[in-house]
Amino acid sequence: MAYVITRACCNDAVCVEVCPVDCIHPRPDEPGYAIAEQLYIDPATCIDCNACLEVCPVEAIHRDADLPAALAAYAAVNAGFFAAEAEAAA
Amino acid sequence: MERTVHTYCRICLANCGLEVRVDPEANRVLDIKPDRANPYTWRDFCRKGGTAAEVVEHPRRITRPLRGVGDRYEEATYEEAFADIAARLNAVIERHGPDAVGSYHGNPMGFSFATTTFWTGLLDAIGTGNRFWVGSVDQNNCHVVAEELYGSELVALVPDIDDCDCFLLVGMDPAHSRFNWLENNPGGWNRVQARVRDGADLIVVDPRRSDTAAKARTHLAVVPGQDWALLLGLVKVVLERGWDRPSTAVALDGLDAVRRLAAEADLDDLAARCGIERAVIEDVAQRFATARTAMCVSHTGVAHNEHGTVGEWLSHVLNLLCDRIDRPGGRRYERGYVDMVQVMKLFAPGAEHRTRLRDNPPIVGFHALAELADEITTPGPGQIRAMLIAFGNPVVSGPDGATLDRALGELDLLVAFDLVQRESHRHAHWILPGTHWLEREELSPLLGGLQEQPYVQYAAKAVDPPDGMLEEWAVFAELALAMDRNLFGKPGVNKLLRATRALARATRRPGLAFNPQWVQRLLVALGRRLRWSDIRDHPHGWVYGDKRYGDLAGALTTPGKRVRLAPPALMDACREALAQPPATDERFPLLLINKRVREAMNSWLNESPGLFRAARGNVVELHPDDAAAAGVADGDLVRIVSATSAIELRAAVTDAMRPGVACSPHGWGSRVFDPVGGREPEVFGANRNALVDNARLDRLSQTPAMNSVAVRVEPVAAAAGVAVGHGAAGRAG
Repeated sequence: MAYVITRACCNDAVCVEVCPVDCIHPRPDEPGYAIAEQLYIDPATCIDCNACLEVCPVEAIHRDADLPAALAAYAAVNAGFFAAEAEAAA
Repeated sequence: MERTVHTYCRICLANCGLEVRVDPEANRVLDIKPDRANPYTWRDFCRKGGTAAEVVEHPRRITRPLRGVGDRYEEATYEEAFADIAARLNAVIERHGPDAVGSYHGNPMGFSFATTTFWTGLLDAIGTGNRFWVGSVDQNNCHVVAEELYGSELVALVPDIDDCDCFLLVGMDPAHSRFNWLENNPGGWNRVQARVRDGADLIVVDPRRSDTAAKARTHLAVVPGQDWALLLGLVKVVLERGWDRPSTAVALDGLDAVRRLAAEADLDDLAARCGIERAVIEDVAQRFATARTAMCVSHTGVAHNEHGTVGEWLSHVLNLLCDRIDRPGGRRYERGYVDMVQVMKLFAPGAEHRTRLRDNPPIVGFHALAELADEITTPGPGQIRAMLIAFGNPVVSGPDGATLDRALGELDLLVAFDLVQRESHRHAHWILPGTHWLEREELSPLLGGLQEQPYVQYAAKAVDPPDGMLEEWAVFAELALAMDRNLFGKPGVNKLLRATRALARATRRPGLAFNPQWVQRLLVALGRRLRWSDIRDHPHGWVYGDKRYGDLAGALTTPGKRVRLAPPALMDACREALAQPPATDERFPLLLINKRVREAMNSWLNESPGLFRAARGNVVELHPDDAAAAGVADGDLVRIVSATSAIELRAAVTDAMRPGVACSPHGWGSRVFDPVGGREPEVFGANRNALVDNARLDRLSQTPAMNSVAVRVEPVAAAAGVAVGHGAAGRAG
């Protein structure tokens, strides 16, 4: 269970600042930020606190349980970003 | 009109601060979010708390006393319920003695001090020693070790995460458990990961590559039930290489005895038992012992095994030998804000009672669930003929549920207290409605000693209970009054109850009637650390001091205030374990383990619609080699067979499993009935605890070996003639 960032993401990273558990990446100080298509939420770390959803200027963030059908694939997209990172690190 | 209430979640010990939006007119919760003004728990939260209102508004919630009539239930008044239950309990007591009334309570009661206190009051009124609880399938090993080493069953040592350089985590999965069991570290797992990013070492011991183990620098895929052998190996290496730095925080007795025991053990034998190479044990011992700071923490993966108490003990020995107790970055003693010695004197005087059939003593005042079924079904003086079950689901939480279910069906009287009618309540003659924690306000003083920092929060009430519903403490008091037996078993208490109620009525001041707050306020006053009014003035919770080290020495109640490193009972049990060759059974080649699931809490939230949207239920995880040997593919329906029972689940084939090990979480397969509406029961998953033997126990903790159950797995089509399911139809079945 987690929150999910979807295609409307504008990479302004205001969500990164409010996240209490630092689970939104890449952060502006991380190398991948400049070329990231969007930001992603790590579902293993997200605590469902809703803080990111409240500050998102473009309504790109949804609770996974409330994801519209058209955006359902983004749950896997968010999780996949971190799986790929872990694989690259291994 | 909306109102915002600040309180905390009482589902698990994380006690996350909550901001609850309420519609007072409709008496409804609108929304639950984490309380960002909580100075202690903010940064932790999960969907269990976020969806808690779904249980308040459960479509099958019981809101009136229900009387069993034939194969259905009828609503009754409290007066009718109290009169009938009291008369039947009195008849049982008069004819067969107080021990003929048994009790069981589950985990949710632990989060309500008011309910716990008055439950004890009712059981004392009855005078029974046949009290059973959920701790006997969970945490008893910790209480036994605390008593043996530190002199009190209630001593807990809290991990001091932020200053730790080396985490040795045994049988736990904080990525899901949130690092809490008998301790609370808000955001604990995220903080461990932050330490690891800063260079700390993380060693995880688990037969399965859990989400926690996947992040470890070293993952030790131990053989289930053999953590004790690994820990003894670590102790041996530390002592023999001279890496020990005995505790500077407490005085130790028995170091030589531990040295002798370690010398008797052979490292290659220990390595073979636990399935971890000798060189790896030596490496981990060195990393743990020579790190600047370190902690060894063991949880349920260790506890729920035949040698679970020995394993827990050895984790303390390892910490004490390396100066990891009550030191920065180790495991700290938090004294809380009540005087535990006083509390024990007031509420838990040493119970002498022993079980009739197996002659076992109680642990923290309660007997083991594993013994309950036999105590009900075996005739003779002291046989249990009536049971009170409060916020518990022992048929699902405990071993061999089918046997216990049959036993409960033989009772003359079964009274259940809960929000819904669960699996264990299907034979109930009476069901009395329970309140939800969002409907109660209270202080739980005993949780103070389990917090990572000096912390307290008064639990506010968000909504009122449904119209006319009594809180549990009041129900228990009414039952004692109706039985005309003194609450708490103390002469004059019922008179005091009646007199203070009369006074409250006459003066129109309800607070003057005896109620649980009297006890809570008394404990705070006796503790002499905090003032009641100051606690109430901090609605978001209050970190009332700085954490400090060194309080354990003063809290020891052992002779000479020295830690008993080598208690004879544990030394003997460890030698027994060493003398016992590892058992194998060709009929049951796999060992079944349990796991934590972030959205689940034992058996009591699995039907909440807001949780588990993707997949509701449990599966059995198998290593590809074991699946192939059994002729099973990913997603197949399989039958899991033990010497005790059989269940059916879908298989998930994954190389995260150690070969020879199967994994399935417990808590599933508990029906929720519809006693008034008569709709079909709801059920998700299957009860894997049904496979567990109720006689193969850790004899020190009296806990079943739920984490090393010998099983075989077979495709469903290939097997025939094995009884599966919930047994014969019961009253509501």
